Amino acid sequence: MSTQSIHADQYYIEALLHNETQVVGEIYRRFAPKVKYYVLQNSGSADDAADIFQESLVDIYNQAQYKGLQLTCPFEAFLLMVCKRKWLNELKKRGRQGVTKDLDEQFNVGEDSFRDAEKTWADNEKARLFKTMLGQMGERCQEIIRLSLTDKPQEEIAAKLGVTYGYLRKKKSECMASLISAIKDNLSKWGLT
Amino acid sequence: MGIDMNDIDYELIEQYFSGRMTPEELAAFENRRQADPEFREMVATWSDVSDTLRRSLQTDPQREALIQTLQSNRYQFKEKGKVVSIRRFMAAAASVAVLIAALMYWSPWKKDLYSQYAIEEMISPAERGSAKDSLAQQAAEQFNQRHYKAAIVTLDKLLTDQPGDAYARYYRGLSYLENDQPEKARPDLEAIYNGESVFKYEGAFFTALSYLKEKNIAKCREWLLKIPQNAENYDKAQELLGDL
Repeated sequence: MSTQSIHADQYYIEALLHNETQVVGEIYRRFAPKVKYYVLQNSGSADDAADIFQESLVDIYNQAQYKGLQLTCPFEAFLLMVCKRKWLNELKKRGRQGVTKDLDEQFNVGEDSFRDAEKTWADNEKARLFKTMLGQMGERCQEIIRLSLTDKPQEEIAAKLGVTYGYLRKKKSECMASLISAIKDNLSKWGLT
Repeated sequence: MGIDMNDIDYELIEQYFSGRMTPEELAAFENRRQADPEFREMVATWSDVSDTLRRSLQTDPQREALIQTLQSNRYQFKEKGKVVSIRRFMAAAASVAVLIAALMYWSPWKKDLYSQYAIEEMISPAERGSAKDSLAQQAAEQFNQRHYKAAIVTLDKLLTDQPGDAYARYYRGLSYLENDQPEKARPDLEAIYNGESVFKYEGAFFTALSYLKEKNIAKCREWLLKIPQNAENYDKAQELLGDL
């Protein structure tokens, strides 16, 4: 975590955390045009831009809610870094070459902020990868893993699935092993290393 | 999968995270974790995968509420490009803007004012998997494929179950509207306007559109004027007022 002091723009993050609709509207009014421009300049559509923008804000929410993200640079700069990172990766997934036209304005952000933005993108992308790979497993494995991740006692889960506790444990470790191996196979395709 | 070292290792890790080890087993496990970097990494990956999945599979009502707010702002990406302050691309952007403005002015595809402002897409709920969510998902698909009659039937079911579901009511209003039943759309949309959901002022906006559909310009104007300056769709409402 960053050692720099918290930027005054942290209130935008608080607004995301508390769903303050006025401020969220302001985020769109102030920052959407730039992201739209950037994506349109780099072989994307307005719809792509809207998706990237929305996902980035949710990523920032997740990072603040669950990983204690605190802003150490202007919100605009941070949001743009996350959006750009996301679009760059999206282009890669679509088999296109990377971004060629950058925004003219460059913000002077510290390395800490840059690293926080990169981590915001990467942590969330990783979560999406995990979820996608889980979704591609057999139904039984999905069921076992989903149930195991709840706080229910293992015995109760075994009863629910109609198996013994010993079988559940064995099956669960097999399912986790193949999930982990599928994840590892896809890390680089998803731009994660 | 054949039985090899890995399978046994994974069973051990499972046992460890389930908290089912005897003190002796636990000590042996910790020793191995200290000594064997590969094993240590396996344990860390397992823990990362389960923690991350647990968090992302859990419903977060706060996040769901935020996503609805974000989606109600999505239209801002469809508006005519506001001036972006980027010096180097200014000239290029300006010429694109002129072209877009010209196209918008002549707009060969533009049928009437109503269709210009009508909603195009129903936001589908995030995947959560309950029966209620799959109904909402189904309604979203029907709406987005323009099968409004079917969407109304699905949304009726949701609303019978939960009459207070603003999301379902809002989209049922829009479905009636798109299905050329403005008089049936209005009770839903007005209820949305009278409520306190994120769709509140969209309710007013689409009530206005329902009157526009009937060429009742006075009523349309009256409803647009209910949208206050701090509402997200204020600009859109003002734009339509200008067009009237």
